[in-house]
Amino acid sequence: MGIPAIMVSSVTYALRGQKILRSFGIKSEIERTARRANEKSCSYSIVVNQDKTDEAEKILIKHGIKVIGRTERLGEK
Amino acid sequence: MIYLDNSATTYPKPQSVQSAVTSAMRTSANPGRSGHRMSLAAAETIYSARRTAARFFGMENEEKVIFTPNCTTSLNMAVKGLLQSGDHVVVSSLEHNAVMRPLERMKNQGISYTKAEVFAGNDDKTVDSFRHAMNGLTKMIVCTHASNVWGIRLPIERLCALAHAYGLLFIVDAAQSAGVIPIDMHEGYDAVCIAGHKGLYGPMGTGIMLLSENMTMKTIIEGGTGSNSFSLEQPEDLPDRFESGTPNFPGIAGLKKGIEFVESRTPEKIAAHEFRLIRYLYRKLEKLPKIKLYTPMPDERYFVPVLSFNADGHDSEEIAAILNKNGIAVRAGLHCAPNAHEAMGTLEYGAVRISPSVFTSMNDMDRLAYILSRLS
Repeated sequence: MGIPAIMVSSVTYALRGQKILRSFGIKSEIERTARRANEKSCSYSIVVNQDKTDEAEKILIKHGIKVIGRTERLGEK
Repeated sequence: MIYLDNSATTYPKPQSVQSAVTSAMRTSANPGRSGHRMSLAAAETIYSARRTAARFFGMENEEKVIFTPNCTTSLNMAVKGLLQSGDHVVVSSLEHNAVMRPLERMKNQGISYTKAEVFAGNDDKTVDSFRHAMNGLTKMIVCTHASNVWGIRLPIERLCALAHAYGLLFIVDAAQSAGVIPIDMHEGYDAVCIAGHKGLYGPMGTGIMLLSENMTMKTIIEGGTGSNSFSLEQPEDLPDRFESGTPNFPGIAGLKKGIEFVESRTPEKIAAHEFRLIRYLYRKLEKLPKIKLYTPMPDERYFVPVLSFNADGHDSEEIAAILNKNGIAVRAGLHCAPNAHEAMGTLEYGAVRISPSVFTSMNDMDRLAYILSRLS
């Protein structure tokens, strides 16, 4: 298992998601989503500390960020 | 050069705007396309610009801020994206060709329109005029917030309420007003179309379309967005749905600084400065026997700080050429708004337009009045 990443559909959602998580004290990074992880491709993912991924995803959904799934952080395998 | 053509584009741009554009040119990669640091940094700048615009225009959701190449594109997107065959539209008698030409072209698709007369200084009559122009097929009111020729301001809050009372869409052309009149999307406008390079002091090649919370429309441009690329259908998510193709990153970076520049001074103070200049000029010009003014003394309630005139015995372009030789930049002719000239009886010769900015001084007005006083 690599580090989990939360997939969102666009860089705007990723940046807004990052801002929201920051307001909850959760640091995050944004990266492109692996093509293999997402058939729709060309999305961005938000990566947080592994133990906060579930909490972060709930916060994002609650604040209107369209989460399209989970993947693993690029370059971690 | 004394630059009095700020309704065409503001000049000079603030130093912060110039620096942002230069910095973006030196450091930028394509935003929202790649995952490397340079691309993400550019995306962050654009996102920040979106938030700045959302805050400035009273919006909670920055995704409803759509960056476009100019106000004309924004208006085309709104008008063509929302109308369908059989629809009727009400416009004002002062519209720019950015509204009129799309509507004229759409006549062959079964779209019709009616022009409502605008009464400068009498909002009740203007609102009544729009009401009488509506019919059972009317889908939308689209109108300028302020005439780019005469500075006449329309009561858009009341016109928006009128439109919504009859179940119509209300679209605003804020090309000449954004930056000198506060615009708050809480008023309920369905879409507001804005030039980034005029009263917002951004670079040329920037525009904005602000959308209300529940607004959806067809796209008129489709293409790559850097998102959902597997699908051949245009994404539904905003702003990607309306931002196909590589954005004008240096322009948007500059526009962010331009909005911050206006925000720091406030539109009210900028307008107060420009109105002082325009009223000062008006008092000087009304004493010159050769000069013909067309509007009453501009008043903040009913105007934006723009003044157009003619001089007896001279074509408007001739006056502009004389002023140019004397180091003064103005715009003459029809200003891409034949309707506005037709309404004032100046369609044949056009008019000379004076539009100051935050950088214009009383000395500039004195010099202009002096040159005009010497016309033979």
